[in-house]
Amino acid sequence: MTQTRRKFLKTAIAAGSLAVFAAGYAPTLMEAVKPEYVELLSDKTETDPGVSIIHSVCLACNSRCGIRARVADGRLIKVDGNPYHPANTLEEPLAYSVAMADSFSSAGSLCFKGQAAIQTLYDPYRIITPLKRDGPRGSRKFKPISWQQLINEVSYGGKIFSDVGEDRTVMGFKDVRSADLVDSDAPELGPKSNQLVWMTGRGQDGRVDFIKRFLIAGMGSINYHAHGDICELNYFQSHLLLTGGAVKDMKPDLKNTVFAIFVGCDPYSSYLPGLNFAGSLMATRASEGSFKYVVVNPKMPNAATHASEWVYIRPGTDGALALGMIRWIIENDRYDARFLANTTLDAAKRNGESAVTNASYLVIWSDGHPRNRMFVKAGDVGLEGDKNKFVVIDPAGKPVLYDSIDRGALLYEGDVTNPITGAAVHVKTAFQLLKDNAFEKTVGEWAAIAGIPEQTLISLAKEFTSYGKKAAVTYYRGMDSTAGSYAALALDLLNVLIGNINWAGGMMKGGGGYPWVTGLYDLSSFDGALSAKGVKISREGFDYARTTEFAKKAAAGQNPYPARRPWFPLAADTLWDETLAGIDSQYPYSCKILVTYFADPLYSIPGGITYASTLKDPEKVPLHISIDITINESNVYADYIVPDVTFLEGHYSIISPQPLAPSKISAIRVPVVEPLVSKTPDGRPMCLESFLIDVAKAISLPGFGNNAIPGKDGNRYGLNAPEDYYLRGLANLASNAHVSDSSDAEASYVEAHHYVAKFKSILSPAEWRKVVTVLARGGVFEDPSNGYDGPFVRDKMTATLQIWNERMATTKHPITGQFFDGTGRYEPVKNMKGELVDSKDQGYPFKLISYKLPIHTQSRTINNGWALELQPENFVEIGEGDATALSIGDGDTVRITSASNLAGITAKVKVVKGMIPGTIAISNHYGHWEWGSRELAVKDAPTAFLGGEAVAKGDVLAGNLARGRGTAPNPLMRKDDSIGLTALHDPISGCASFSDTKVQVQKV
Amino acid sequence: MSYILPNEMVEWDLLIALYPFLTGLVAGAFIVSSLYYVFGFERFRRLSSLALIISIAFMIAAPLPLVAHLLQPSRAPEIFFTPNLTSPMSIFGYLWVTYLAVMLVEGYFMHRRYIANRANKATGLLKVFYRFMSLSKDTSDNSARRDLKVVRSLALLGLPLAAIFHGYVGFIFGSLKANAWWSTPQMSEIFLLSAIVSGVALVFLSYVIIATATKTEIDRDLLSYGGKVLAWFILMDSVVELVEVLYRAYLQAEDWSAISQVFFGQLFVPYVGLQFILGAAAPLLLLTSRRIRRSSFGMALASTLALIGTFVMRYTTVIGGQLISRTGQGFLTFTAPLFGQGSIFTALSTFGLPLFIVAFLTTVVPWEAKDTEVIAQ
Repeated sequence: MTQTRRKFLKTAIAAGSLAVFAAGYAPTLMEAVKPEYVELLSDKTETDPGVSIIHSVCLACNSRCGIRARVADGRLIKVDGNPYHPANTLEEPLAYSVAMADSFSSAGSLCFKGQAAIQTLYDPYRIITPLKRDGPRGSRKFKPISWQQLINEVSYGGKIFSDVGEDRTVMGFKDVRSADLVDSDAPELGPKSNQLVWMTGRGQDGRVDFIKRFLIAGMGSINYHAHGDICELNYFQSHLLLTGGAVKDMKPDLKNTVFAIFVGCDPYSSYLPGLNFAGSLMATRASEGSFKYVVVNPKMPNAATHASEWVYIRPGTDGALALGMIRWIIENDRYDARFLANTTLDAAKRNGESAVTNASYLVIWSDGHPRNRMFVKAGDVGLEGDKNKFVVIDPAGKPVLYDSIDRGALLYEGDVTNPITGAAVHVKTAFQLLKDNAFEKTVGEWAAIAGIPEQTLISLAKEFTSYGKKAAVTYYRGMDSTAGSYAALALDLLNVLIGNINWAGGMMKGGGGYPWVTGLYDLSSFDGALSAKGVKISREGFDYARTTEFAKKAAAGQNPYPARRPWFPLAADTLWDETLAGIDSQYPYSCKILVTYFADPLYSIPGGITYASTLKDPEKVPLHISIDITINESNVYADYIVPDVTFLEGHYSIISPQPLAPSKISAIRVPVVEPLVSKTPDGRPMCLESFLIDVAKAISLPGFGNNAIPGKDGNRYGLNAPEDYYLRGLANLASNAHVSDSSDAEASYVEAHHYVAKFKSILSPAEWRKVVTVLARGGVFEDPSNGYDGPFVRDKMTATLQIWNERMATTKHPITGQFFDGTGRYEPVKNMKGELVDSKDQGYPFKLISYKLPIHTQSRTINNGWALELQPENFVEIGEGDATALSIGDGDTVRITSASNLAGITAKVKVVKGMIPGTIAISNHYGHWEWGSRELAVKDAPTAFLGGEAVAKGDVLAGNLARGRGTAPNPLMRKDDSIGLTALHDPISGCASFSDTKVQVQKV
Repeated sequence: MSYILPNEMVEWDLLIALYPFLTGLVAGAFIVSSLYYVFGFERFRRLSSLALIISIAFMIAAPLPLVAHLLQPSRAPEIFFTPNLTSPMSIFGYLWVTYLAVMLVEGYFMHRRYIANRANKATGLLKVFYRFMSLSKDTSDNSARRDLKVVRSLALLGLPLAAIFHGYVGFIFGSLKANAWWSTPQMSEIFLLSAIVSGVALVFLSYVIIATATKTEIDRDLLSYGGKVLAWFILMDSVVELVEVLYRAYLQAEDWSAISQVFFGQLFVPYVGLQFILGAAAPLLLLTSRRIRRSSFGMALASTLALIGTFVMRYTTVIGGQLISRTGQGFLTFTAPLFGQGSIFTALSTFGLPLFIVAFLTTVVPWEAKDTEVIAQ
C-alpha cells in the first residue's frame, strides 16, 4: 500500500466514521442546536404570578379530605392537599390564624385518586348539554336538546316521546305532585307525590340538602334513596343499634390508640378517614412502634404491610370471630366489669367513665309473656316508684330500680316474682343474653367457622384486652353479608367489653362540624314546605306489622307472613336494590318519575344488571331523568340526561369527614374552575341545582325563585342560582363558627381568584368578609387539641349503649315472621326465607369477594387515565393453592359462574399469595360496558361532549376500549331467588350482600 | 407468562449499556498507557501514545449516549451549574472534565517536543496547526526531561481518576438497592476489572490493526506480554463475577429465584454463552498458547472476544437488572430497536466519533512511541 493510498484510506475511514456518527446522532444534534422548549402549565407553583390557589374538598372518594387546587390560565393544573385540613397532614394542621398567603409554603398530602381527579374534570366524554333519548329505551341513541325544551317536557309531561313514535302520555313533575293518597285502601303509603323516586349515588351535605329541599319539602315525596345498602350500611346499622339510634358513625381515635383490629376493611386503600390520613398515620405510628394493629380479611389487605398480623378469615364469618373472642373474654374475665356494671350515666361518671351500657338491665325471657324480649320495667315485678324504670339485680340478688344503685349484677338468669301479683317471670340480664349467644359454641368451634386457628383467635382476644382503654376494633364494608348487622354489632360489643367508648385512644364519634343550614339565613324551611309522609317504595323505616296488607291478612285469619316483599323497619340508611325491586314489582305502589343522580345502579348493585329490563319498561318507569356527568351503564336507559358539574367546578358542600379527630371540622367545597358545562339562557351552568330551580319555578314550587329564603333580618331572599343557596350556607357557617373578618389582603386574593367571588353581592359586605376567611382556608377547622377533655374526647357518646337492643329484639322478620335477636350473633348465609344458601350452591366451590383498589373509586374513576396507566385492567385473584389445584396460572383466562349467572363472565387470572383458600377476589371499578367504553349514537355528538371532535364525529360518540377492560364482579353476585329481583340481603338493615356468593372457576 | 403493568419498562436502554462500556475502554486504555509511565513496564512504552489517544477519543464520546438517551442535549451543560454533591450522577460532569483535562494535558506534554519540531518542519495547514499548538519551541533534551516529569505526574494522577471515573458507574448501579441484580458492593470492582480487560483488549486490537495497515513491524514479545496481561485480568474479572453469582446462589436470598430465572433463563445465551464462555473462557483458552499470543490474528481474535464479553457484561447488567419486575409481577422483555431512539444504529454510530478522533490524532501525533521526536524514549 502506498503512502498516498494509505492516507486516502485513512481519510476515508475518518470521514466515514464522522458521517456514521452524525447520522446516528442527528436527532440529538438537531435538538442541541434548536431545542424545543415547551412551557408546562403543570410546572407552575403556588407563588408564580397568575396562579390561583383554591382550597376545597375532594370528592374523588367519600373520605372528604381537603384539597388545594392550583389553577393557571383558568385551567386546573394540580390538585394537592389543603394544609389547614386535619385530613391532609399527619402533623398538626396549619393553625387557622395563619394567613392564606403564608400557607403557600406549607403542603398537605393527597392520595392518588384526588390528584387524578383532574382527569374527571377534563374527561372528554363528559356531557355538556341536555340529552334526550332518540329511540326506544335501551336503543343507545340520544340527541342534544335545549335547556328550555328539557325543563318544559319534564315539568309538564304530556306526549313528550311522540318524536320517537311513542304515543303514551307521561306525567311531568307538575302532575306527580299531589297530596292525594297513592292508594286510598292503604293510607299509610302516603301521597301520590311519593311516586317521584330519587336515587342518589354519591350524595354529600350541601347538595343532598338542596335535593331534599326540592324532592321532599317542595314535591312532597318521601322517596329519597342514597345507596346505603350497597355501601357501608351495616357499619351504620350496628352503631345505631348499639347507641339506640344516637350515633351513626364511630371510629378509633387513631392518633392515640395503642392497638387496633381492622376487620373487613383496608385503611391503605379505601377506609374512611381516607388513605392520606388513616393510612399514613397508621404506617407512621406502626413504624415508630407506638401503635400495633391486626388486619382481619379473607384477602390480604394493603394495610397488612405494617400490621403485626394478617388474620385470614372466611368471607361472611366475622360474627363467629367476634363471638369467639367475646366467649374467651368472658370466660377469662378479661372484660371491664367495672364499666359494664354501671347502671346510669351519673353512676358511670362517679366511677370515672363517660358512657353507660344496659348490660345489667333485666330482660323478660319467657315465651308467652306479653312483654317477652323486652326490658323488665318496675311495674312488671311490682317494684315501687316509677313503673317505667328499668330493673337490675343488686348485690344481695334482689331486683331493684336501675337508678337506685350504681352497679347492677352483670350475669343473672332466674325468676323474679311480683310481690303484688305473686306472678313469677323468667328474666336474664342483657349481658347474660350476649353471653348465651357467645356460649352457643366453644371458642374452637367459633374459630373453625371463621377458618381461623383457635390459638390465633385466643391471642387476638388476649392482646385486644391487654391495652386497657387504648385498644379498638373497627370494621367497614366487609360486613356486607346476610347476617352483617349481627356481626358488626358483635364486633362493636368487643369495644364495649373493654369500655373504650369516649376514651382518648378508644372509640369516638368525632367532633362533627358547625351548623350551616340555619343562622343568618334559614335554609331548612320555607313557607309551604311539605314533609315526607308515608312509606318508601323500598319499604325501609316502616314496620310491615303496621300496614294495611298485614291488617287485612290478619283480619282474614291468614298468617300475615310472608309479606309480598321484605320491609325493613330497622334500616339505618336508604336502600337501592329494594328501590328498584319496588319499582319493578310496583310494590307497595308504582313509580311515575325516576330520577337517578350521580348514580350507576346497574353497575354497582350486586346483580344489578338485571334491572336493565326494569329501566327499559315504560310501564314500570314512565319517565326516567338522569343527572350525571357521563353516560353510564344505567342512564343509558334514561329518557333525559341532564349535564352536571364535577366536584371541581361546583358540587358545593359544607362537610365533616368521618371521625378522624375529636375536634370540629367544617370543610367547604367550592368551584375551583369555572364550570365547563354549557350555560342556561340566563348564564348559569347546566347542572343539578339549575335544573331543580328551573323545574321548581316552572311548576311554581314553593321554596324556589324570589323570596324563597327567609333571613334572620326578617327579609326574604331569592333562590335563582346555586350560589343563592350555598353562599348563604357559607355565611351561616362563618357566623355560627364565629369566624373573624378576613384581612384586606385575603379579601383581595379571594376576590381576584375565586369563581364564587363573582357572586359576592349575594351577601352583605360584612358577611362576605367572614366568608372570605372560610374560603381562603377551605373551611372552618378547630384546633384538634381542643377535641380532648382530660382522658376523654370532648364530644361524647352519652346515649345508653345497647348490649340488648329491645327494638330489634321485638321486631319480626318480614318474610319468616320470626323475631330478630337483640344482640350480636352469628348466622350462616340465609336468603329472605331463612333457607341456607350455601347448601343450595354446592356446585360452586369458591366464595367470591370484591374490593376496592387505592387508585379507584367505585364505578366512577374509569375516566382517570393515570389510574388506567397504573393498572389498565383488573383480574380475578386466586390463591396459590387453589390455582395449582385448578391448573391455572397468571394470565390464564377463566370463566366464573354462579347460581345467579349461569353463563358467567370471563376474567384474567392473577395468582396471589394473600388469599384464604376457597375464596377468589375481583376488584371493583373495571369491566365497564358503557362510560365511553363503546360507540354510542348521539346526534351532533361533538356539540354534546366536552371532548368535541376529539371523541365524536357526526352522529357518533367514539368508544375508548381502554375504559372497558377488565371484569366487573357484580354481575356474578348471588340473587335471592326466594323472593326474586334483589341480591341476598341482610333482613335487618337491608344491606346487600357482596360476600356470600359462591362461584365456580373453570379455565377457558 | 406474567402480567407486567405497562408503566414498568426497561427505562435504561441500549445506550445506557453502551455508556459503561465506553468509560471502561477509557479507563482500561488509560491504565495501559500508565503501565509504562507510572509502573515502568518498559514493554508498554510503544503503546503508551496509542493507548492515551484511544483513551482520549473514547472519553470525548463517553457522555454522548447519555446525552442522546436523556433527549435534552441543550440542557446537558446544566450538570456543571447545578451541583449536587450527594449524587454520583451529578458528580459525573466534574469528574469527566477533570479527567479529560488531565489526559489532554498529559497527551500534549507527551508529544510537545514532536509538535515543536513539526512546527518548524511542517508545511501548509499542518504547520499552522503545529504553530498554534506549540506553546514552547524548545526542543532540547532538557525540555524533554521536564516534559517526561509532567507526563509521569499526570499519568499517576490519572490512575485514581480512571478508577473513580469508571468505578462510580459501578457505584451507581451497586447502590440501587431496589434492583436485585445491581445491588451489591462488588459492582465497582466488577466494573473496574472488566474495564481493564476491555481497555487492554482494545489497545492490542488497535495495535494489530494499525500496525498491519501501516505495515509497521509488530513487536511479537509485546503482543505476547500483552496477551498475558489480558489473560490475567480476564481471569480476575471472571473470578470476581463468578464468586458474586455463586455467593448469591448459595445464599438463596429471596431475590435469587428471580435473578436465576432471568440470568439462567431469558438471558442464558448472552450471560452464560456470550459473557462467560465466548467472552471470557474462550479468550482465556486462546491466550494460554504462546503461539497464539504472538500471532497478530490470535491476539486480535482474543481481544475481540474479550471486548464482546465485556460489552455483553454491560448489557446483561444494565438490561438484565431491569428485567426483574419491581412489583414482583414477573419478568420484562427487552428488544433494542434497529433505528431511532435508543437503537442499535445509534449505539453503533457512537463509535464513529472516537474512530474519527483516533484517525485525526494519529495524523497529527505519532501513534507509536518509537518516533525519535517523542519525548518518552
